[in-house]
Amino acid sequence: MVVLFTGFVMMIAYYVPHAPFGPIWEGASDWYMIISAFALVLAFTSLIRTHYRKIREGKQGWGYSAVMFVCLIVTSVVGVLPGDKNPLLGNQAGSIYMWIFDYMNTPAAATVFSLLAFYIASAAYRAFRVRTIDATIMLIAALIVMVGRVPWGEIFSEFMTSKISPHLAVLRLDKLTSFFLNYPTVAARRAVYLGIALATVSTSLRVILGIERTYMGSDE
Amino acid sequence: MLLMSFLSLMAFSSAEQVALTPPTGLKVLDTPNDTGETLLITWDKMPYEGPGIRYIIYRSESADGPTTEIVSLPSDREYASQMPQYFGFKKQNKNIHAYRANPIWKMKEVKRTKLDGIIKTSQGRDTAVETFFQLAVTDGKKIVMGNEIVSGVPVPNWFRKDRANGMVILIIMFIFVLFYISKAQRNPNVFLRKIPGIDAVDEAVGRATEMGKPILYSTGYYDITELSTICSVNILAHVAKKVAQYDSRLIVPCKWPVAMTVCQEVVREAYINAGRPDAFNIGDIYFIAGEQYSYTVGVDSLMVRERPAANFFLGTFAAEALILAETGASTGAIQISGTDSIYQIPFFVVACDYCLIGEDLYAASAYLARNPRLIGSLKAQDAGKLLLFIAILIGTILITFSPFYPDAEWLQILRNFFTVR
Repeated sequence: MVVLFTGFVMMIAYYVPHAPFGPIWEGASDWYMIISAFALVLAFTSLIRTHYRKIREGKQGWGYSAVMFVCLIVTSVVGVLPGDKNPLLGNQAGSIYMWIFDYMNTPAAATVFSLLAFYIASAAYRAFRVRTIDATIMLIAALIVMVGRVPWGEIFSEFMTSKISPHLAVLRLDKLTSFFLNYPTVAARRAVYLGIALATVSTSLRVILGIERTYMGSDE
Repeated sequence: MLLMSFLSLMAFSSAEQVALTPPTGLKVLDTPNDTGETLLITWDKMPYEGPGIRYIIYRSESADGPTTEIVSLPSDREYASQMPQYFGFKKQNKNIHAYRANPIWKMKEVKRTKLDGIIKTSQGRDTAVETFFQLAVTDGKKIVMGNEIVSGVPVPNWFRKDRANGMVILIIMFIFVLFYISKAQRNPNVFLRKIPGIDAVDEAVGRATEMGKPILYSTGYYDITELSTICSVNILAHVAKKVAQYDSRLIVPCKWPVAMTVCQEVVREAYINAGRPDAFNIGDIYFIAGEQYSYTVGVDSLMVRERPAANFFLGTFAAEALILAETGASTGAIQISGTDSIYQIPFFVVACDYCLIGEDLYAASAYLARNPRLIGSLKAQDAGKLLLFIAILIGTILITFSPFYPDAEWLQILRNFFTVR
């Protein structure tokens, strides 16, 4: 009943900008923030319990859990203490908290992100292994796109087509790349988007009408 | 430099040749489809418009009060034809200028008490007052004021006409869902196409049980506010029930506190429904980190350490998708993924054994439940797809032939109907 009422009110609020419906959007997000703040306590408890158990039981990698506790305590203390009197405390620019964020957290995140380059290479190797006709077509398309996106590919294909026949200009790699990216790729992407859009509407209605209640622990 | 100076001199001399007259046709309208934030100012296109000529809009609190310049616009821009969402597709819109302006707001004092007890006072917006506008035109040397002074107060609107198209589709889908649910209840033997990724859930859980290794389940990058996460949680309930029946172990590392709480409750209920409440371990559904790459590293290290026999990555994922899937593949786990993030689908397809593409993620729960009402809503989705297919076909024909009818207003209206705002 609560989901049905809330769902319909939010649906109306999407189409009616007039009060009281218009401001409901902002109000709902404020409510969510408040609920999240309470849930954060649960997450904090969960984090401490998980890592404490690991240290107590001496599980593999328990040392990292100890490091987590040290980091948790240090960042919490220096971040929560008011920075009005001591500029090193609080979360303003120049504080220890921001130093940890800028020089420890951000480079660590960037390092993990940069791993993606290597994973893409290994994933590409697996995808482009010529085993089936589909994989072969994909390999050819990928090669054209990759070569067509770099300057030397463009120059090379321009040189080749001008030497053989100007009529072959349509087969220049940069032109073929644009064709692949603008037509077959966009068509496939839009098909997926349309499917997702319809599924979103259908699923939302299922949830609002109470047909789908699994997320609430229902056995249906 | 010389060339630039010459060109600007030419521009000024051409501007000097025209005789500026006061701009006419000034009107102020309430902006449609908004919450009462802005006003639309319109005026006629004047014959002397060109390079170097600019319109200036002034604003004041009273008809004879002091005015303030709010904007200076080039004379060859800001036409009503560029704002079809407000003015439609009439031909004469090309001869009307339009500008969206803010009104003057009555301010009020807002007091906020900080945690340390200090009361801070600041100015906050209260209500919009009647605002007066006057128009002028300038060639850079002299300013010619318009004779008209107009005023208006923005009002909140009761319906967003620009979203009417979405509402029509929503109503159609609503009718479809109700129709197909009643149909499925009368005849539960409805044909559903196979989704290999969903059929593989039993295989994955069975394999993990045989190997005596856990199953890892990730609900993705976003919180429970995302529909994809809700769908993922729905699938989690089915997976958890299977895990409970097979007496295996399920690990759910979470990125969001609220999602974690929901997952804990859903898994707990699934274990109870399976008749194994004693096997539920709340410590296996835990919070890792709220930051994207901290979460990624946490799940990666979990996969390397615990070596799960099956990994489920279902939900919306971002850049971490491939990092997670490739690490999972390197541990030799059977992997089932599903996402609605279009850019991550190829990565999952490559690195996972089964992948639910886009809408399959949303359909999976209904598919697993085999409940006639849920299956009915899936058939409604398919009917919606057929309707969209017909719309695309008609749209393609209309767009193809539209260059032959450049002045057809109805064609523009039809095109606009399929524009999402």
